[in-house]
Amino acid sequence: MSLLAIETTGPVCSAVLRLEDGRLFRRKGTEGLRHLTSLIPMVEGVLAEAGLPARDLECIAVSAGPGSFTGIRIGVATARALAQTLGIPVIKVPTLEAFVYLREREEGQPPDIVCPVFDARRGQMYAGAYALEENGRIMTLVPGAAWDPVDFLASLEASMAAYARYRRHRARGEDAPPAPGICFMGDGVPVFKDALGIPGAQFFPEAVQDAEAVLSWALDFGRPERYDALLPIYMRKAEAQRKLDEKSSQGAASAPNLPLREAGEEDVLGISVVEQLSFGEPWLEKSIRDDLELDYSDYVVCERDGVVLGYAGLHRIGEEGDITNIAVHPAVRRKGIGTAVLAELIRRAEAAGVKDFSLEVRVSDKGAAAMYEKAGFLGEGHRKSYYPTDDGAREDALIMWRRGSGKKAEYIIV
Amino acid sequence: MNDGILVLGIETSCDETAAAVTVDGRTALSNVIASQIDVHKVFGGVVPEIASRHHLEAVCGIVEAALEDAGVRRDELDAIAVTKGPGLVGAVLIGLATAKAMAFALGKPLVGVHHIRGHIFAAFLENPKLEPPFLALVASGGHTSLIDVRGYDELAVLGGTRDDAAGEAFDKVARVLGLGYPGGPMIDLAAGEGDPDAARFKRTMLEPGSLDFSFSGIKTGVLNHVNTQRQAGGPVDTADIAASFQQAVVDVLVEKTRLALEQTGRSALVLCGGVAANTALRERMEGACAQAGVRLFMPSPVYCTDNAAMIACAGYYDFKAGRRDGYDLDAYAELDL
Repeated sequence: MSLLAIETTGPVCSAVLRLEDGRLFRRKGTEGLRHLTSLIPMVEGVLAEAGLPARDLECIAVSAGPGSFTGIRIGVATARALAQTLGIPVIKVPTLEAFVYLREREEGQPPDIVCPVFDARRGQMYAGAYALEENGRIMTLVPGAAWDPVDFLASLEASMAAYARYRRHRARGEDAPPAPGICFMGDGVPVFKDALGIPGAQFFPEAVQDAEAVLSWALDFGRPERYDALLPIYMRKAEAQRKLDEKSSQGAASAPNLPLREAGEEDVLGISVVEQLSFGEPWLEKSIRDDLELDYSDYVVCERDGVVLGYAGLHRIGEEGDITNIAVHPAVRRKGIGTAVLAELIRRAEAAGVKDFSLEVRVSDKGAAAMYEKAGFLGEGHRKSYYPTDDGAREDALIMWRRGSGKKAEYIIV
Repeated sequence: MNDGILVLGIETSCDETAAAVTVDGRTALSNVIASQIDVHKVFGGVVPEIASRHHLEAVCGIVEAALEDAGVRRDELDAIAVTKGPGLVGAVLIGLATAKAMAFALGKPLVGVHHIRGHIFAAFLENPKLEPPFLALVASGGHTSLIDVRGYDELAVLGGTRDDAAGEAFDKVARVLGLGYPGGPMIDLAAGEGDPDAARFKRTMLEPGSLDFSFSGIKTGVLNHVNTQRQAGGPVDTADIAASFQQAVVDVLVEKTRLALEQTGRSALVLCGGVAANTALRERMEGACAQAGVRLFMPSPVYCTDNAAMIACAGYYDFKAGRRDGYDLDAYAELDL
């Protein structure tokens, strides 16, 4: 497949064309915001050099943000119009995640956790944290967003601890794998360096958005879609909109506006990442996929910009719903996401006729139990030695029910 | 199917996303406009960043609709015309990036069009007999200019505004009177109920013989008048003020136009731009032209507001004159005609 990748979200505009046989043709501008005037000439240049007529181009990948709003729009508008005119699909590439490909790796070295950090002004940074796994998969440790540096660091630390635990579990008693390194890359590094106090971290402030990284991401993870499905990843509202929203929500504690929806096949990877960062014995990707496909299972995800932040699933058995799993990404806990996905899961199941809901929770997990109580669940029993613990022992599960049917239950111990 | 020259026009310079197809620059086969008025209403005016976001999401669909309405396939187009400025630069560049990508992908000529030239050329769409030379008064939210159209390729600016554009004054006064956004139509509506002689606002004519405009004095006069009424605790007679303000602006526009006609000796006038949709201005200009024996051409309201048929039309004449733009065409906030 011939694939054109364009990058206009950062200080340098670039384009790269990859032909079916793997040959690459590149154009890269110099620093300076001349993206609107240089982009199509660059596209023209790579196609001409490759001897590929525009009509033979098969797909376009575009860096969709975050970054300069205007820069994002130049790339996205161009990609949309090219794809629409040529009748070909587009691939939307998350700019932060593509930065993983800018980190050069040495053979045999453990993968780094790559943290792209862009200066978003007003004391914030567009940032995320990504681990490139040995199997080539990118695990999102901190979802990309416009972060306050302090919150970002707290989320990063929580996620790094979860990630280290996951790697230990995965090694299963064999020699623990070497701890991954961490690096911060991008124009936000000099601005926020003081706030990025992770011991042993490396800094690459000169790293710049590049179409080749966009191309690599697209080749590994791209999902071709129609031009009109391609929307920018701004990660921030227009300033006037933000002020208006602030004004209209003054006084009232507004509920966080979380993007909740039914889970689909495209969420399996994201769900699996949250599983791995949350549980000692995470469900395998295949189990999640199989479970999603059952006609008596319901799954709800909270997903933003392609990253699963939390999810919950249940099995329907007549008027009873057994909540099989619920988890929130460690980088975004205590923000109401768990409560929201649970409420949405229950709302959907009730609409399908489910009245009584049950779930199990570790007896030591008082925080989770409190959240379930708030959602209307009551302890109705125990399962002995149900969960394994980190130190190799076992732990009881508390069984909780939320009864909509009025059914009375006795406390049971199994 | 179509033997004539087919031009696709794209316009995104302010808060309308528009695309149109014209044949031979004189007939609009389609004219699709998606207005963002409802989006910007809550802000009391156009917010550039929000306008740009909406243009980006809308423009491909609008282009598709314009081609479909016209019954024209992309490969039948002879050229793609697009507004290059003046306007909100972040908004202009959405149309420009789209047009460039289309032109490149299709291998069709690209023609960048001056927005004001587009407003003037809108008059050709419904008047097959209209030919230069003629005088044009362009009055819109961003511009108030008197232009001597000596030929399709020879436009001379005789005068422009030194401060606010006429439409800008309408917007600001409408805001003060609490009439909302957009100001032009709101004032027009309110003025219909009011007495245009209720208040007297100064008509700024500048030095004798000048064809320039200044509307900030009229605007300030209205603001002071409203403040005085409010401070006196009395009711603010919105309709009367709107009518009086509108009359003052119209007086200036008509008088300056009369002067320009006199200076140039032109026997035809084109009244265009968003403010040309104003009822009072249309009526008064008709009267003045009848008296002076000047033929008056006013595009229908749909061609007065920002639209892409006018861009396709102006682009057609640029194309015919052999003008082509490269893919390095830039977007401009300010741009000489």
